[in-house]
Amino acid sequence: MVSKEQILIWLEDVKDPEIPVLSLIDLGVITEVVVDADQVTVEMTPTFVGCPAMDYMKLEVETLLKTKGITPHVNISFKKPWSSDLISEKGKAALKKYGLAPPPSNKVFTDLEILETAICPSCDGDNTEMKSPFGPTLCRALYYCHDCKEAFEQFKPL
Amino acid sequence: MDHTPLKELLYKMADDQLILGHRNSEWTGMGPLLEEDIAFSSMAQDKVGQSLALYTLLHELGESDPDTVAFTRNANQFHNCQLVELPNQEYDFSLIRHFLFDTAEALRFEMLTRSSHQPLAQLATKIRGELRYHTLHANTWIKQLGSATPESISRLQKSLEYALPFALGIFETSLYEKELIAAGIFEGEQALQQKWLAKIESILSQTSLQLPDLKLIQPIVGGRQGKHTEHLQPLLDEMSEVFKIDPTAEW
Amino acid sequence: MYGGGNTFEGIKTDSIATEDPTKLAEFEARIERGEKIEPADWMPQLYRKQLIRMIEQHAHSEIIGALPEGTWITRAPGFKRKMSLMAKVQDEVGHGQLLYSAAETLGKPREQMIEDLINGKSKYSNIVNYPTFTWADCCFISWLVDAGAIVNQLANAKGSYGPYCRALDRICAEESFHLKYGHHCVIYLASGTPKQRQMFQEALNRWWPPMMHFFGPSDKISAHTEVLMRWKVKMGTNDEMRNQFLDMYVPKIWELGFTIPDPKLKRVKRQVSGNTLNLIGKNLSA
Ligand SMILES: [Fe+2]
Ligand SMILES: [Fe+2]
Ligand SMILES: [Zn+2]
Repeated sequence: MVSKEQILIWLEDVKDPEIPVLSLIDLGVITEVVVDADQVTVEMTPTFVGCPAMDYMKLEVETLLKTKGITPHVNISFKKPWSSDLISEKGKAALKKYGLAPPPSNKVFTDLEILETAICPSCDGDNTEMKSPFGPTLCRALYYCHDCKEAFEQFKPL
Repeated sequence: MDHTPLKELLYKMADDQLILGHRNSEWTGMGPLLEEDIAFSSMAQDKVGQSLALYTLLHELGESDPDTVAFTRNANQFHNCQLVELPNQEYDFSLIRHFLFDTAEALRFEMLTRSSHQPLAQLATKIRGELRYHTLHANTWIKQLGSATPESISRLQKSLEYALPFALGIFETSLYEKELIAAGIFEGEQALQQKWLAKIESILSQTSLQLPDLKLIQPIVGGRQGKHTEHLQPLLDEMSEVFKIDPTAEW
Repeated sequence: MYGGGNTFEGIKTDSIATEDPTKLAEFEARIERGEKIEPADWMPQLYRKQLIRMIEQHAHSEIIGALPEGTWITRAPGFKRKMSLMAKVQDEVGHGQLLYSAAETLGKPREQMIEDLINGKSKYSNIVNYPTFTWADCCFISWLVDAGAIVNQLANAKGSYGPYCRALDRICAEESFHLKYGHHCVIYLASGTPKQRQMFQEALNRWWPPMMHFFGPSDKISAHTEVLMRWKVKMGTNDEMRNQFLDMYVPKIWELGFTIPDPKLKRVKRQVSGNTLNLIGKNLSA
């Protein structure tokens, strides 16, 4: 049987269907990989309960592992619910490079006022303003950078 | 163990989310502002997704699969409160309903994070985080429009007075209050209503809107027992329209 | 969703003569080198004007385009389809939001753009005006109208204006998800009951002519756009875009066993890197 490490390396190739630079591992929706004697189990959890891409992500994980000769059990549950804090440092850097502001730590998200500004991914400034807590997709909010004079999206803290 | 009380709780919550999710989705493409369009669409997605998660819990307790449960029952088998089935009407009513309902919903899930039914507590932990964005959205607009112009204030005030009797119907007493409380599944509708009242009072007090004396209002109940307005069945018919074209088909 | 076809009818290039020749030369050299033009950079009046027009039309098309599919959200069959459709339609409105922001960087406020849309001064893709009679119409849009939009948007993403390109990069990533969703929906209709197949065939018959118009009039009759191509505002001719779409999607539609209502489409065998593929030859403008 292959090692868990090997499987994690393979799974690096499965990306968020709407953010092609972010792997599911870095996004944090793959919460666990268990390798038993004859079975590989992948635990997944959606970013948002209403995430429409969950089925597709599950399918991609299964398809990829099948090309490696593995038929995994893929479970989707809320046992270990997703939080934006689960996005890896590598994932956050990739988001920023892609032009999406990475989420601030969820721990500061006790008071919603904190959401009024975000760090602009292109100039790193905070002369910004929230336009709407609901951006183009469920997981993003919309901001405006007064210095760049350009709108940008932030991956929401959750 | 008898799951009837738990199931009744899950059904009413799931039905609330499903129906209000559909109503919210009717704003998609129609919002008074692009941002509002997107906000109501996002909340619609959250709510429909949350209803699916709740129907899935019911399925695990032996009920039919989520699609069957959600899209083949008739109005008298639905347990949502009547507030959520009312047509969207003007934006002021949609906004007031969103404020009154989502405040209650956010508090309900907050309470349920402590539920003795583990799967529900886990789901509630997840949903609570999402609902913060809903209440943030509602509170922002209520505070802004509730203190803006004479027209915005009077419109919201009128909608508030119209919606309140329905909103009190959210907390219609369940047949199983005692069992749910005793089993530690849910702290009960009364406890929820008290928290809700404190919350909406605190937001409304920051606006020019007046909260009427709730003691003088007769709550509109019955939704939890399958009694609905004439608006629910047409929506359900719409929801099953494609299925009915060819019941043997997979879509 | 945006085909981009009718954007550039009869542009006047007179204003170029009044631009500072040194700046103009530097501007053109930058574009030639593949650099992006940013909001604060110098640009010719015509460049600014045409970009505003194009991005604005694109944004309007996304917003209006949400309506024919949006009406199917309540009716979408089952949770899986419904949640994807909700997300998809919202994405489209979100695209409008991103694109209006990109156009605003060129100096036209969003309110003005919306006003011009309402009073009929600015255009948008005509395809979004067609009604959706059945669920199959909605599936046609999600798969094929989005496919057409992707062809156009992928090309435009290689253009010269930074904010528009960045918006398009993200938009294209989402569109590819729409395409997958739409394709799945159509596969289910294709492999479903006779009634389902018939529904999609009828939708295809209704939507094919507007789908062809989506890419704009034939190059033979559309206006001269040489300067806009040089400035990388327009990234391909109408016929190039249309043909790219036909090459990619006609075989896929045939593969599912549907008939395309255009007798001039022909199957031709073409040798591609060792494999024989079914491609098509066409003669639309005849
Ligand atoms: Fe789009
Ligand atoms: Fe799309
Ligand atoms: Zn900036």
